[in-house]
This record gives sequence, C-alpha cells and structure tokens, in this order.
Amino acid sequence: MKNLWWRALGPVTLISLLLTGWLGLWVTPRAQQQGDFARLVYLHPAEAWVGIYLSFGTAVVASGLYLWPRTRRAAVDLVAASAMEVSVVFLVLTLITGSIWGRPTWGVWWAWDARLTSTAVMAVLALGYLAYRYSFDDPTRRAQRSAILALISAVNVPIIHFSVVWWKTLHQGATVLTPGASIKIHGIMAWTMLLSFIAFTLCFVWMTRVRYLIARRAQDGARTRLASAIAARQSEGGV
Amino acid sequence: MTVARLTDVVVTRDAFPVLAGLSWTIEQPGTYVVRGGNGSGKTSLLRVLAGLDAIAAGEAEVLGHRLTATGRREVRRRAGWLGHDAPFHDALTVAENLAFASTVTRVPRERMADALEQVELGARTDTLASRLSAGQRRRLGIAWLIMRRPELWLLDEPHAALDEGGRQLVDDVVGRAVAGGATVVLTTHHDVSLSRVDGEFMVRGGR
Amino acid sequence: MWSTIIAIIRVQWRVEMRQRVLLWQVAPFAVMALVITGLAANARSIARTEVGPGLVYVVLVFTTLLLIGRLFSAESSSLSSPSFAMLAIDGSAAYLGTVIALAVELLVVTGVVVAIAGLLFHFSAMSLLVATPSIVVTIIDLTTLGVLFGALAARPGQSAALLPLIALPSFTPVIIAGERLLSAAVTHHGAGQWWGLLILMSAVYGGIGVLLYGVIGEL
Repeated sequence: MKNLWWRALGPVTLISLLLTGWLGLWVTPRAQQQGDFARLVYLHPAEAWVGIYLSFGTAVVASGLYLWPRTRRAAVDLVAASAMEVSVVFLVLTLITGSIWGRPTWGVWWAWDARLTSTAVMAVLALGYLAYRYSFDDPTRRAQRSAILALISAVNVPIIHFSVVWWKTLHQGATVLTPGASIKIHGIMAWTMLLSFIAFTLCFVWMTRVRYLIARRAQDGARTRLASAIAARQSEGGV
Repeated sequence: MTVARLTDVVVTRDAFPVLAGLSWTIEQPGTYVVRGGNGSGKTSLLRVLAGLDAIAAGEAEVLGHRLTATGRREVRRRAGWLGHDAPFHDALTVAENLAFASTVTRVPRERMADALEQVELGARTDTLASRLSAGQRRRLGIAWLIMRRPELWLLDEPHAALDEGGRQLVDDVVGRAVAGGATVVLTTHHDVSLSRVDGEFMVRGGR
Repeated sequence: MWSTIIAIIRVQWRVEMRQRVLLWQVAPFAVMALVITGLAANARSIARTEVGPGLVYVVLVFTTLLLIGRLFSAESSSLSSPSFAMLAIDGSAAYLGTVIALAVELLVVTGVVVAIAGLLFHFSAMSLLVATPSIVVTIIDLTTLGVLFGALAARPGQSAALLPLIALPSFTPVIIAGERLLSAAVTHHGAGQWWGLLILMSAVYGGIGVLLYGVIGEL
C-alpha cells in the first residue's frame, strides 16, 4: 500500500503541474494592470514556498533530528542533504521568476527588493551548506558537521531577512513596490494558485525522495567499497 | 584494571581504512611494544588509544572510557602523547610552551625546571621552539610528559631522531613511569633496550 | 576556565608580537584595500559620505576573513597537532579566548582603517567618536561569528574558499547594521534600532560558540 503511494507520486505530481500550467496559461483571465506577467502568480509564490520554507525547513528539521542522539540515523542526514539540494533549485527558480516579474514594475531586473535580496542571500547559504557537505569524505563526520552548519544557518535566516527588510524600508522610505501587490485574486485564479501550491509541494516530495534514493545508493556503494578496502587492507598483512 | 580493550576496531581516514578490524586488550599496566612495517597502522593504533581519532566500527574502551566524543576527551585528559610534533607552538620558547600547557591542564608549573633538567634542556628555556633540532624537540615533548605524569603514555617511535644519550633517557623515563604504575605503549622499528617489556603487539594490514 | 582563557589570549598576542604579521602585513593590506575600493567607487565625488561607511565595512569583513583563515590554517599546522589536542582544552574557554584575542587584534586594524577612512572620505573626528561604540560591537559580532565558522571550516587540506562561502551570508546582517550605524554617525542621523540587532547577534552567536566550539573540534 505504502509502495503504491510512492509509485503514484511521480505521475500525480506531473499531472498536477500540467494542470496548473494549463489553468494558469489558458483558463485564467489576463490581469488588468500587469497583463500576462500576472500569471507568474501561479509560479513564483509556490516556488518561494517550497524553496524558502518547505525544503529549507525540512533540511533544518532533519539536521536537528540527526544531532539529537535518539533520532540519529544516516537516513535522516541524507534527507537533510536531499531537501537542501531541492531548496537550492527552488530558491534559484524563485529568484529568476521574481526578477522577471519585477522587470515591468521596476523597469530593471534587480531593484534590491527586500524579499528577493534576502532570498538571494539564503540561496548562497544553502549553496554554502552543500559545498561544505561535499568537502568531506568521511560520512559520519560529514553528517555531524553539516547538521551543525545547517542549524547555525537556520538561526540566521530570520535575522538576515529582517535586516534586509529594515535596510530597504529605512533606506528609501516605506514605499516598497512589490510585484503582484496590485493583483486581486478570486475565483478560478484563487483555485489555480492553490493548485500550484499543491503541485509544487508534491514536486518537492517527489524530488527529495528521488534524490534521497540516489544518495542512499551512493552510500551503499561507499559502504561496499569500504568493506572491500578493509578486506584489501587486511590482506596487506598476508594473514 | 583493564587499561584498554579494542575489539574489531575500524578507523577510516578519507574513506581509507587505516585500521581494519584490530583487536587488542591491555590487561594491566606495564610496557607494551607495538611493531609493524611502514603504513601498517602503528600510529593509527596509538591515536585511537590516545582518544585522538573516532572509531568507525567496533568497540573500544580506554582507561574505562568508551571512545565517544566525550569519552575521547576524558581519555586525552589522562593520557600523554609523544609524536613527531613535540612543541605546541613554534613561535613560543621552550619555557613558554611548557607554561602554556601546564596552565591549561592545571599541572603544577614547579615541575618544569626539574623536567627540563632531566631532558638536558635546562639551558634552553628561552630558545624558540622553531630553533630546536629534531632531537631537541623530541626531548621537549618528553619533558612535558614528565611534567604531566599521565596514566597512559603513548610514544610514537620515541627513539627516532635521538642520539645514544637520548635513547637511554627515553628508556629511563619509561622505566620510571611504569614503576610508578603507568602504562607505556610505544611503537618502534628498532630492537628495544628496555629493561622490562610486558607485551608485544604486531600490526599487519591495519589489524 | 579564566586561567585557560587568559593563557590562550596571551599565547596568541605573544605570537603576534613576535611575528608582527598584523602590523606589517594585515594593516597595510586593509589600508590598500580601502584606497582601491575608494577609487573603484569613485569616492572623490559628492557621494563619498554615502559610500564611505559601506567601503569601510567591506574592507573590515575581508580583513576579518583573512585573519580567521590565517589563524585556523596556522592551527592546522601547529595548534591542531596531536600534542595540542592532547591538552583537551575546554571548548568554551578556547572559543572565548580565541574570540577575545582576535577581536582585539581586529580592533587595532580597525582603528587604522577608520582613521584613514576619515581622511579619505572626509568623516569628521566628532562623527568617528560617536561611531566608535557601534564599530566596536560590530567587530565583536564579526569575530564571534567568524571564529565559529572558522572552526567549522578548519580541516587539514581544506580549500581556503570554503570559509568565505559559508561565513559571508551570515555576515550580511552585521555588515548592514554596522554600515547603517556608521552612516548615521557621519550624517548625524539616528539609527538606534540597529543596536538591537548587533547585540542580539553577538549574544546568539557567542552563546552558540560557547556551547558548540568544543563539540565541533571533536567531530
């Protein structure tokens, strides 16, 4: 039964994404002010939800569980790493779509919008975690140290966010133009937006699971290699 | 009291098994000699006994502490190490090195003068560690062990780089430590001239 | 614990006094970096009081990273040797000692940088005096964070690029707060709310460092 759920996840994710695309591009109406650009509302907020909250949060919670002695499992560490990789993908997508969306409003690709800027810093934070993680060969050491880095980074995320918001509002007056602020959401648009959140959430679960399975296979491979390395090492002594 | 008990210990460094299922028990205090060829895992065995390295598999207990992160710290508090890197800081003098080490470990500093005399560095107290020869650095390391009086002495090729007098010094210091109830584990390629050896262990292929 | 902290500070300063790296290498580097960024930002223009404070902190951040990278690379050769590890120094004391010693070293360089910046960007002596407390707290923030990340990044054979990559995102709020406060002092505006952020960060990261520094060393 459990297996069936997992097997259905891929197709269900694909269908929900296609449905979101169809509704977003053809069924929903054009916005009065922003025209077709407003259709990014079916993409950008859901990406931000997955990148900033869901996957980053999953990575942080899994790191915390790994550091807690009772819940320390190699699998938990792999979930943290997989979710963080998915987070980087969605953070970059959030930045790209946010920049495209802001272009007609601001007239430039990058206007130091507080949320986009703190998202960019967060993306570097997540990249730093991955770079740090992959600089280790020893799996236990890698898991422990990466988990500590993830938790320290997590403490930082709200501080970074508020500092950038403050910086923006205190610097240039509180007239922050936010793309999408002028769009009124109702009817089919609201349903499409809701669907986009569901579709991207499913997409996160599917991507994290696939990445986790790959990571587990790599870990099994490393374990096999270590076992044969141990055997080779022992035979050096000519037992 | 069992000094150390290692069972099927595996230690990896950068995914290479430096120790590959090593088992050894030191039942009681005394002098123990570890032998083996280059790269066989002698130093790695000493590092595990010192609480310097975490084990990847197997069971290990040293001085009554299981080798977890906290256990290893406790072991390091009670064990002494002599490797190829005797001084703590090259930019400090002989006396400053020993003073720093004694402060952070709460070892009485009064032991310093006597220890330096024993290793014949009494006239070198104000010399920077970086200006010491390899043999003198080794002697500085021995002076620190004399000051610290650890329960478990781990000496990695203690006779290397030492002249005849230095080697005799090592043997004397070891003899006195064991007489005082300590355990000394040393690695060597040479024939040992120690007056008393309680056990030998041969490392081959990391076990 | 205090005797250990003091011993660590004394060793670090004594080594510095002997090697004079801070005086003859780091401080000239920082001043030169300030001149270069000033030229690059075309700071002779009217906007110099606008960009000056930011440039000062860009230079100070890279100086911090330089000093921390140097400290931990020196550790990987000498201080992280087996003999040193066998001292089993208490992690909290090691962290506090390292932070205090490094913060004072950084403040010396900062004094030079800020004095030169005053000349280059026409900050008045009075405004620099007003800014001094915020500069000190910002440097303490950079050090508490930097030593923590330095310990995480420190490993024999580690690439030098890793420390800036993992540390810079977390430095962001500190840089913004420091720049805003220095800017406010120079332009005689208030920016009191940034004080809260700076103090919160030094408390949070100081606490994390005291708790985790020893643990990180064991992993």
